[in-house]
Amino acid sequence: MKKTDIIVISILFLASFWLLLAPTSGNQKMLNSKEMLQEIQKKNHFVSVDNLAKRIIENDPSILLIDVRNAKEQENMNIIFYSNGTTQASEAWMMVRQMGFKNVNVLQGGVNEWFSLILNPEEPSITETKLEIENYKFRMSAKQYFTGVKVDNQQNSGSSTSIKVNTSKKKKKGASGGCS
Amino acid sequence: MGPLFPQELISETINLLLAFFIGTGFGLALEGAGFTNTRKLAGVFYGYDFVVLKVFFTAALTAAIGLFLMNSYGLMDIKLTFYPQTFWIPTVVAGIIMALGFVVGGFCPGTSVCAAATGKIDGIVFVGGVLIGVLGYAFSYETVFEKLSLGQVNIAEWIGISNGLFIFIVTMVAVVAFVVVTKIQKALNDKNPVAEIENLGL
Repeated sequence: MKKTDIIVISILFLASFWLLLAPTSGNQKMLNSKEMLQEIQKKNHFVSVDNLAKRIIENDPSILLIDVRNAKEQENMNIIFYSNGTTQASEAWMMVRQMGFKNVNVLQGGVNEWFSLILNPEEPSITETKLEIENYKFRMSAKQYFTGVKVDNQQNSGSSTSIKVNTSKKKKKGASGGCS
Repeated sequence: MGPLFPQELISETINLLLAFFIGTGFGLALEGAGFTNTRKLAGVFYGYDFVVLKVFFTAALTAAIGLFLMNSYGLMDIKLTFYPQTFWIPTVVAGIIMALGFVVGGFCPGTSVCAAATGKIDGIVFVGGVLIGVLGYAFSYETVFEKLSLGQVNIAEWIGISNGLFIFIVTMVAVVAFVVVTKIQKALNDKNPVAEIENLGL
């Protein structure tokens, strides 16, 4: 055998041996029935309504509410799916729409667009349409709402029609996050 | 972390661009290693050249070991990677057709594309065959393939061993195969010498 053959075989052998010793797949450990029962009895999995309310008020970014009420109760909700882009959200949308749900949407552009337009809006040039400039102003106020960053309004001094961000949005956001 | 595209960590455009560059690199490597030469590929069947077998066995194992190692250390969630369904009967039929094409024409689907890119007429004909196969599959999927699907089959799971152990066993098989084919190649070439393909100027 050629020298290269022997080197390649040795590397493959060592790597597969390493794989054999590597931790078995999955960062998520499945629980067996005994462990599951223990967890249920400990009741550590409950979060109090006060705690949840506090975390929502504090805008805790680490919570993900998932609404698992039955279909009838969710009928009148506007379900908005989001993912990083739109591919996965669109897949979810297709499945749910196929089931016959009516009020279902996909967040256009996904989290990426949220990041670039709402959290990092680009200032339009003066020659842009009025609509674009209004959009920009809305996005700046939205940015302030979501991040708490004070927005410098110098450039908008011409027209001070500040766009109010509807506070009821907060409610809706909770619902959309919950359903995705 | 990974895979990047199924989690939308990269856009479709970047995904296609990456595929384009990796594909081009793969093609260049195949051409550079002489895989667009039909004699080299047909050599597997006649026993005078087993490089193709070695390369593709190594490639499959490298990918398998790499993926599962990354999965073990949390760099890649293997459940999110594309996992095709198994079609048992169609695979056997297609395997026979491909093997026939392999021994008659000396191309496998990948190398035929490379050969076509280098302007070989037989390569272009083979790519036509590949396209007919692809279209045939697409149009007969609902009538033929869907019924024959076994779903996603994992041999390791079926036998009841871990993926790591299964890959380790396959690696052992590969090591044995490498040694055996090298011996066959040497014995055949000593008896009936075939000039090195590189020296034939083809």
